[in-house]
Amino acid sequence: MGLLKEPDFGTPARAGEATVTVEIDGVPVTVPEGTSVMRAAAERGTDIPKLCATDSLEAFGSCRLCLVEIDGRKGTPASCTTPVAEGMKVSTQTPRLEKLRQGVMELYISDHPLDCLTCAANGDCELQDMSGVVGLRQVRYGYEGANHLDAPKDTSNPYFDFDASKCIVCSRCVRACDEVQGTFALTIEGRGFDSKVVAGAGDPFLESDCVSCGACVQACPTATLQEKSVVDLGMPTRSVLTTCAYCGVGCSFKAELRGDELVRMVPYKDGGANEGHSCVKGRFAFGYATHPDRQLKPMVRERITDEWRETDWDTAISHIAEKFRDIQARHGTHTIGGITSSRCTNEEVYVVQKMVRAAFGNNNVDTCARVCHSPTGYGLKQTFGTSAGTQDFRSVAASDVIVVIGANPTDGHPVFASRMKRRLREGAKLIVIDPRRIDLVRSPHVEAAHHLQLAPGTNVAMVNALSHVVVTEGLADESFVSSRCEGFDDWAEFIARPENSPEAVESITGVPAEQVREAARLYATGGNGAIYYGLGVTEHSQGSTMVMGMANLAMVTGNIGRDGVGVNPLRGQNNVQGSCDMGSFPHELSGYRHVADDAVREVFEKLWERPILAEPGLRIPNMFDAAVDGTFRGLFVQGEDIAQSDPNTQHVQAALSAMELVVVQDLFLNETSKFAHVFLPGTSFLEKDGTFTNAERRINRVRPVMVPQCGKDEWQVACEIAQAMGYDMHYDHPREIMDEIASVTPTFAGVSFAKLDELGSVQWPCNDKAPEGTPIMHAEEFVRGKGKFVLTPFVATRERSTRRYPLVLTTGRILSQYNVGAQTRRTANVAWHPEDVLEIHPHDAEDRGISSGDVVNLSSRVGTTSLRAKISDRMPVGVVYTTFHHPVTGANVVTTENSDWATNCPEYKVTAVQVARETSSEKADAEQREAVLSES
Amino acid sequence: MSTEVSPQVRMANDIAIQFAHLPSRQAAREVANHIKMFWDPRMRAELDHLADSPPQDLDPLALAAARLLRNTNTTT
Repeated sequence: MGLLKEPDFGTPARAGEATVTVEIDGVPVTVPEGTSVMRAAAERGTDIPKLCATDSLEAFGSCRLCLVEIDGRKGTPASCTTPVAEGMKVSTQTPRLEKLRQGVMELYISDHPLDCLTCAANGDCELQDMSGVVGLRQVRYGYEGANHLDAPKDTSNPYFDFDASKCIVCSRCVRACDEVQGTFALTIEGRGFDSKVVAGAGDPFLESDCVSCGACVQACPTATLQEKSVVDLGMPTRSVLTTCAYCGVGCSFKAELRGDELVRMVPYKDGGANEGHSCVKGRFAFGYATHPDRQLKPMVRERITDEWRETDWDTAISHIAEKFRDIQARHGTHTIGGITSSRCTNEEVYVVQKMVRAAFGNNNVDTCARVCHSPTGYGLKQTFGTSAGTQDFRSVAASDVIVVIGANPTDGHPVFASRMKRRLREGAKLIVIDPRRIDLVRSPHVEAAHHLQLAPGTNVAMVNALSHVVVTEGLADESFVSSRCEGFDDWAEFIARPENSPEAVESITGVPAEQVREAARLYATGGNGAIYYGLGVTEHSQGSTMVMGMANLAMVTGNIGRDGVGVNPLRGQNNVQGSCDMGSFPHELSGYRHVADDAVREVFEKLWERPILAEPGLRIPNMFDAAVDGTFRGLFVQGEDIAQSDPNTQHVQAALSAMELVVVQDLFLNETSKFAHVFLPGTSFLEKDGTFTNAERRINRVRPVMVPQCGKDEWQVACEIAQAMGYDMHYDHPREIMDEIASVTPTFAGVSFAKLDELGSVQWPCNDKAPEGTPIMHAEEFVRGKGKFVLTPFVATRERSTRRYPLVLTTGRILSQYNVGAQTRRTANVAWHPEDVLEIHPHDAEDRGISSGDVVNLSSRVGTTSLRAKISDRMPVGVVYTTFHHPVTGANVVTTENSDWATNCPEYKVTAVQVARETSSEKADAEQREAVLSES
Repeated sequence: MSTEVSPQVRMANDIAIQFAHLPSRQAAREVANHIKMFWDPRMRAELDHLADSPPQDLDPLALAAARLLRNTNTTT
């Protein structure tokens, strides 16, 4: 397609069934009540001139260009701020309006550089367009008067410039920052002619509170806020609609290209997940895809101590097949396996699990969701019947009480956070349950009603206490419970026990009982209650129990099955949901069906013409244990850096070192590839053709923006390995893989590339019952029939603070970086986070003589690393926090083997540690280590 | 350094303690079911082997589940 320009209706759409009919230039048009005259006109095809209006923002009425005449009314009202009224007759083009608009434009142009021909926005400038639309032919005021033409340009942001000389002070950027993003980083400083847009208190953009989401750039009608890439490369000429490959929000983007060169990513207004918004990663951090570090040819070596040797695809694939078959011949079919990646498409993941099950002949396939949301899979399946969030993202707009547990949406899922903050500004109440004072607790125009700042590892005690209050204070939704659920009586008896009361658990959680009671009452009685959670729930020894505890709480209050409610995992990576859906777990085939189910296996066996084992295979941590034991000897790793991301690095390294064949497929050489015998180049999301499924079960198309830089699609590689191992697996196009997925997976039965191209996206289940998908699940009944209350006794983690390790470490990620940083570290995002730091409370720092910026030793019973300290009162006393974005820090050197009891999801969120200032000799060692790592 | 407890013992104990609130026979069944549903056969074989001469650190409930797995076909 050419350049996709989406229509701009000027003001947002209004919902509601009541309609109003008006006449626009003599033509009747019927629109929802509350619609602006401007939008009504646009919907009938008449674009009224405008500068300060755009349909992502509420009307502002400042530019005075959209004036209209209305029969029976005085003056010339602004069409953007004037709502339609029944019978209204509007004229949008009259000699009077023409004169007024030309006058307004004259004033704008008299203080605007006339460098259109050399301006970066030439051809994409609304000021330029409007000059033409209003028929501007002269500027009577001349260009010699007071002006802003020498206003300085702020180039501090790595991705966009702010050229104040081109600003028309329409406030669209300020309003975008306020209304769309919710950061309130921009403002108008000064009055009258001196009014100007500033970031923060007049800071450079980079030093301000600006989060570089790009909403202001998107909203700017001129070249004032302009992507550097457009300045450097020129205006794009064509668009490809695709899906972001960062977090689980899964934003839709227009990849805008000039020839074959990607110029910019622009959020797509019709994208169901993001509706035109973006974050700094998706909007700007795509440069890694063409980074010179990319390894584009396969490489092999006999031993991991050998130098890599580049080879061709056929040789590499034959080598892999031969080695895997040799291992199986000597040690058994069960001694090899594979790991799928949540950064890959559904189609790529599906073929890898098929390769393992059909070609390897075992169920030793797992996915990186093991280390993040596997407890969601277990917990929601036990209680609701399937492993998925219950709502679409839009649902939050109907929530009255929002509970955020163990998640930091403004950093981890920023585009969803913006939706959430908008609802909070409208008056919804917020309860945050988190050891850290995350930004949502108190940020501009958002303040949590309750921050239950619990001790790490005590989630289950907290959720039980909340349910205890609901049950014992008579706040349960008895009608919902009796008609929709089972197991209530036993659970109610359990949860009402004194040991689950807020007073009893206060000494465990550290949260005052009365605060817990108030929060529980608010959630139970405050209207639509919605729970959103993240890895602060799942990455615990009772991660699965906590998921079930939240499900219990939602059921007992009737907060399931309609808009505004639900239990919603915020997935870490773009395709966590999809990789789980595709049968990546060693005990489940696609659609979360256990391998022991004969009827399910038969479907696959018939299609694949291979027997499927009825026994579960190894999970990732089990693979490591088995490798150390010598019973697991070969591993295919698709796009996951397990040596950096998985816990207890020493154990992972020992396991990888013990294997005879480790195959890594990735964009870059990484920590895991140091232990690999074969490296296969992978494809970035800009090269992929397939689908991603986001955290709201939305299946979105990923369309190739460029050809695979390494010469092969990843799904082809898996097929060729399978073929080389003697199993005929072949597809001509990824759409055929999706067709196969649909044929064997009831929840995907109605999904096809053709349908996705037609509808944009669908949310599973998508089948005969719901041909256009299912935004809200469990509306009439739960997937398992009745929702099941599960007893969730609190069991403390075995990881305890001791005299030797008196602090608790918890880990997470930040806005500008993404997981192990393989992508974002290769972009200008390093400007915001050049290294991992350890956040430590002032009291803990003082006790240890630590100042911000000091290099400190962070040690646990399994290992030691060093990083810089940052004193922060966001942390409670006794708790420290870091990220795991940089391999030099290696935060997982200190995390332990502890894991969720049900799923083996690592307990990243609780590690007993000690922190000490680094001595000079240790510092020298660390510098040497850093030098070695950077060379390798 | 990693803990000295074998992974199977650690994981079986972790499961057992989650069901310890149930009556002992029901708890053993639940633990056995969980292990059958989610553990690779070689891990179950290792647990079975440990049940012959149970290490001191193996939770009695985990041991009961291991013996149940050996003696009965638990439902999934």
